[in-house]
Amino acid sequence: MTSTGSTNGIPPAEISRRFEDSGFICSAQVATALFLSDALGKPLLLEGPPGVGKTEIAKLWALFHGSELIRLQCYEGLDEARALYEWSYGKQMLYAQLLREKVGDLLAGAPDLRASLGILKGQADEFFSRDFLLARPLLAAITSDSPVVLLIDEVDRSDEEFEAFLLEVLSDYQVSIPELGTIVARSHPRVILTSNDTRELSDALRRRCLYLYIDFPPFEDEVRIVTARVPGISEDLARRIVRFVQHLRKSDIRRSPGIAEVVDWAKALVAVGADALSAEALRSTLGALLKNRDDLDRALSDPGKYR
Amino acid sequence: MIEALQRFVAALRKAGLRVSPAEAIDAARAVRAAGLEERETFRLALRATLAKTRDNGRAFDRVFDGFFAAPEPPRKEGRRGKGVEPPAGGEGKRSRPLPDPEPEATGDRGSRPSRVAPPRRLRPGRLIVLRRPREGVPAAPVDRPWRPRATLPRGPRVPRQFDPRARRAVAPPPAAGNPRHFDLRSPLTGEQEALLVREIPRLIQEIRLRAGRRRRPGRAGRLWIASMMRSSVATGGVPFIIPYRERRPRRPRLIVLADVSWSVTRASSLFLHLASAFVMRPHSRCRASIHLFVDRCVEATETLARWKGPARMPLSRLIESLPGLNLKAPSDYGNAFYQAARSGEGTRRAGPLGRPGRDAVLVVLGDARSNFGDPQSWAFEDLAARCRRVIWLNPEPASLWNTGDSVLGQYVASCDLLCEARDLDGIARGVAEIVRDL
Repeated sequence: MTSTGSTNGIPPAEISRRFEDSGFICSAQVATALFLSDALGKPLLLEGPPGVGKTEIAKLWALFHGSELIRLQCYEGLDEARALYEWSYGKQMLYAQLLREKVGDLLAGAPDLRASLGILKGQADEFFSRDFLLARPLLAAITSDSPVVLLIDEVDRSDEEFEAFLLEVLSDYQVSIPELGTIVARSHPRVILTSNDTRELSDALRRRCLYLYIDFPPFEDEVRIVTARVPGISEDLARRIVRFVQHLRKSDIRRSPGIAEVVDWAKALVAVGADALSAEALRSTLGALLKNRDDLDRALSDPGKYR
Repeated sequence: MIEALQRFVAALRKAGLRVSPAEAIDAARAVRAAGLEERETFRLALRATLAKTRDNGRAFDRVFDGFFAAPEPPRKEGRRGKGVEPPAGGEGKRSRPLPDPEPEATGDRGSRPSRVAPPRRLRPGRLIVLRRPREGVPAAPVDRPWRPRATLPRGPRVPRQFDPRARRAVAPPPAAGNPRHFDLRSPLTGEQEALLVREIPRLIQEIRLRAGRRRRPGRAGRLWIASMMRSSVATGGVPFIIPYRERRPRRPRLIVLADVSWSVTRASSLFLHLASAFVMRPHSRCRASIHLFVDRCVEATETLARWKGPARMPLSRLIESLPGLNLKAPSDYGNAFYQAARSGEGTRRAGPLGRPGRDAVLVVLGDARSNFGDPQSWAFEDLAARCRRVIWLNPEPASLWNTGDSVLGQYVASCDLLCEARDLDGIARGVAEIVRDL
């Protein structure tokens, strides 16, 4: 995929085509949402079950624009220091030690304590300048000279406190650092948030984003994905695989397989030379699809139910 | 077009979507960017800006289809709209001009949007009656004069009537589509049962995140001065590393007494399902002991700790398999509490019920319907006096509390918090209160 710089003027159909050139079957919904995200300059919230390609969309979106992808993986307990910035305490101390003599020279001419403090006051700010700032993903995205794609992955894993903090970043593309003041983005990053829908995100966050729910693809689309991503697979085997997987997803299994796992399984089947879903082929390869013992037992005990 | 959009947004709001003015402006900008040539693109543009949840998306589609009627398929002969020319250039079926919104379906009188079922929405909080208001706990919606436990008279109690305002404070009948608001006492279809079970992991995640945030006092605990002095000796007194001392975690004790009789079986199953996610984990800080009862108390802690989840064995079957538990017996709260209060008495090593400890939180789940048996409230008082906090989850609507054979009024004076847990939302609120206490 070649970089275009901007999608302004590029219709969703073109985005879709370019994504497909990279092996990603992009629906009209996804293409329109990406187009609007760019046209309106708003973050895009992608929600859906794990394994439907939400993160992949962000990666390809960065590739599409030829820009850097900055990823912030959310987790429980994520705070501003890990997401935004941190002062490099070690560096500050090291510099303070190295410059000890210099500081001594500066203070040599001061007649009393008040004068020494006055001199130090002017110098102390140097230790809280950008040289000592460790930029974390959000700050890195905002201070980047060229527009980047900022992926805030699995935002539902973070807590509501962090969501509230994100609001300032996502609405104004600016952050406040007490020692430095407000830092406004030099260029607006293209922001994509993903959520696995494990909890309700706040209305305030949703309001600031464009929204798209991505479900598992329909049968024909998934067959296209498998045939596109697995070289050498026959159309017939791809259809059998997808039919099996879609039946599995409808059944009462603990963890529905994602598209990447389906592709892995298809590759495994091709690797063992299977041309049909025989019991032996299933036994030897189903571990690539199902990652839970109960699910495996259930699928292997009665595979005919899913064919 | 702006006017049509305004009417469409009004129709969406009427259908239950909370569309803000900022989102309406976004929608107008999106339409301008995406264009009006393709109906599907137009729909997707509006959908991305106006529908911000999956349920809202479904409701949006219904309103959209009612509002912006789909164009009729092209006919070679007998076209009704003679003035309308087919799209030029052979663009195919999808490339048709967007029709004007139907006048009869637009305004407030629009019949189609009004038929749209409202999407799932969060409802206001359910009744939580607090006896001893605490900081950070939502205030009780009833104006009931709660008194501290220590000053309550110890004599026999007369069942109290609840404040009639409390009945009015109960939320309206639950919505049909939201599994969190299914009435657990009414019969549910298999599909609804499945929805309930599917909702539990989401609730667990929400409660866990809320509790996790509250527990985190600082990034790494308190500053450890002594360690910092020691470590800075090696670097000429300069503290390159700032050590923090983590707080020693408390290990509170949770005692659960859950009624599993048929009248509350669904609520107790869901409660145990939720509670086990927090207290039965291998690395849980909490020391939990779970006791189930109908007419007598049976300890189920070990059995529940070994439970591998509903995929392996339904919880109902697990409860049925507990020895000593007669699920067909009539509920007897008095006997169950008596047994619990007397547990371990006279022995050197009393169980968790015999000596709960000052950190203990007692949780009772039940409707307090004791079939007109002796409530033995003194036994419950005795048990409650040994615990730091007492939380009672009642699966019945508040309007039924203390009516008929319910003896809740006999026990309520010993409780710190009463929670109406007639649906999954109510149970989750109760569990969140428990987790917050641990």
